[in-house]
Amino acid sequence: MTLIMGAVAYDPKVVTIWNGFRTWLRDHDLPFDYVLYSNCERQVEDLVAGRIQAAWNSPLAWIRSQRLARSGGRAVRPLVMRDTDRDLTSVIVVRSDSAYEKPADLKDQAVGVGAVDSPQGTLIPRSFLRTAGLTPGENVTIRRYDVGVGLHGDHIGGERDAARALIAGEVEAVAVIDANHLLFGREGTFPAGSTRIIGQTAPYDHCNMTVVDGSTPELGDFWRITAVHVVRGRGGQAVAGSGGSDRLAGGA
Amino acid sequence: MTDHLLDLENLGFERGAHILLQQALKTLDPGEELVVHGTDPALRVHVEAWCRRSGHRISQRLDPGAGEPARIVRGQADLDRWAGAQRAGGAAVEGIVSSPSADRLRTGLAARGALVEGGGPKTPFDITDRDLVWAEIAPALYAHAASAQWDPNTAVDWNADFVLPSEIEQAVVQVMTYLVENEQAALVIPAKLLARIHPHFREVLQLLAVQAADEARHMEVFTRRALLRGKEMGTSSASGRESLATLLTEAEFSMASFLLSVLGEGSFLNLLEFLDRHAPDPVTRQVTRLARRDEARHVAFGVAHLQHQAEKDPSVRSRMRAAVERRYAALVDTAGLNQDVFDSLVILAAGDWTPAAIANGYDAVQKLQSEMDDGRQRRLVHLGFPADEAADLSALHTRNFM
Ligand SMILES: [Fe+2]
Ligand SMILES: [Fe+2]
Repeated sequence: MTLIMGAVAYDPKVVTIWNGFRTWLRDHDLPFDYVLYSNCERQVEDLVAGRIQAAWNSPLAWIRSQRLARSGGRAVRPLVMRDTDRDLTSVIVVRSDSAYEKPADLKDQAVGVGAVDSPQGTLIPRSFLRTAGLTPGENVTIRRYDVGVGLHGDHIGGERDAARALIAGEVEAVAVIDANHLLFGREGTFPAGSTRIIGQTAPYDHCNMTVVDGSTPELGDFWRITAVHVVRGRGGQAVAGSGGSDRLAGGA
Repeated sequence: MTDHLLDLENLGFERGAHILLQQALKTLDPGEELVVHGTDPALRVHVEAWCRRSGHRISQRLDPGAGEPARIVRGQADLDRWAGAQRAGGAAVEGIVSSPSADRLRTGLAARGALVEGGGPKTPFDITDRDLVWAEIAPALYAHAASAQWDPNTAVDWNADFVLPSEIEQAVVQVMTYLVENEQAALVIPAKLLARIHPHFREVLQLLAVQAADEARHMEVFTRRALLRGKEMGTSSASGRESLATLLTEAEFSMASFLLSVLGEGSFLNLLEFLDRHAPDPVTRQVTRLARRDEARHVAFGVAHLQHQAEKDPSVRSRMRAAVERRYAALVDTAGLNQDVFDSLVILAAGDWTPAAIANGYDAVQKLQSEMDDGRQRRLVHLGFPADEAADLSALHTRNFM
């Protein structure tokens, strides 16, 4: 039986990505197909209603599906996730020549963040700033760079716009995911040596493939075991990290 | 166990730290630890983000400002990535495999002999059988073709001093116009085929590409000769184009090669030799001689290819026969060679505007046609046809020559 997974079409490349996966998985005798959603709300509804067997969920979609499932007396669990989606952090970045040393120094200043619904670009950094005593709208101004709203941060355009605004002097600090700080440095959005990191969030996890418990357990487990085995063809640790995702639910 | 150490000094990831890091990790076994020192302030954050992407782990999270070295546990994503990879045959000719797209590796555009990562895209190459495209002579012919390329600008003495009577000049223009039309068909056909052949058969692609480039030069020099003294090209008959159109629609590589190269370009060898012999001026002689040298290669590959085919599979001969008959049937109601072209050939061979000279010219063109017929029969016999069948088939060949 084919495992049908939902994914959010945040970019045309999503088709390329999942076509690639589909071809590769089928080549390895893992029957797989996908359907695309324009937004994650409908994807989560369909997942919990059993219309699809799995969903590639962003962190927000994961939490949403947990809540929706719970209200219907069911439970969801992460089936597999990528190594690269584990233990992410966001960093607070300032210009090198500025005087800020720690997040609390940004009191009464403007901080640029990504899209309104981006966990890594906005939501997690906001809560991080709060723990440093900075309350958005009270003693710190949050400036959002909304690109790809509705995509839950699966679009780095907002963070890149925020990064450019930092260099241009429009904001005093920005929050970006650590990998984007690396990327922006390597691509030149942040000229070499132009920025400094003054804060880093606790680690959190990103997307996972979610299934509803009780829907098609044997299919899901078969698929998980085989997919992990196939992806880790040489043995070694598994890609699946069901423990990791719970941290996000608690942390965000 | 001694620690593996790397000191990046002040080099950060904004300026290439990953290159040294990658190199250092390559020498470690999965699970071994690398201790990375460095003074770039963002180093720890970047090491961690980079490791996550690259399949390595940080053994212990560090405060970004702590100044302690980063400890990386070497992962194996880079090794896993290439675990299922395979060589796309061997680089040399001996490494050619019979069907490069038979496995699910999809070697596609990968260089022959390259280590190919799995999961590549589907490619549009539908001619993927060694036996369908290969001829042992292909690499040698390609090498020869590459070394025999000439520059149309300098290989021909375009400034040669001559004046022809206008009716002779006009005959040259008409023949050149006809040649250009045929060269265009001869360019498009190998170009179309080469885009369908799996690049694993590199030498065949190279040979066909150079063949197409040969035809491009032929188009140029024939056009330039046509316009050397006047401004107008000659005529193009519907039947001539009809004959060429049947070549364009032949989908099978071997049959297209048979009709175009063995029969068509084979006949053209005689035609170009005829024009060389009867050329009324040095430019006409030079351009036809240059083209003839190239055409000989085109015919050689066609013959070698079909010979290889017929050896592997005797039924190829009946397909060749059917292809000739099909084309004959398609053209039976057409006029064949453009009358203007025929008359021009007679005039060129006549060399003079007297009844006796015209009669000689006419005989020469008859002789040309019988030489073409002989040549076709010889090549068909070479491909294994009995003499009588070769004669029958040659007689069915288009009267348009190509
Ligand atoms: Fe030619
Ligand atoms: Fe040719």
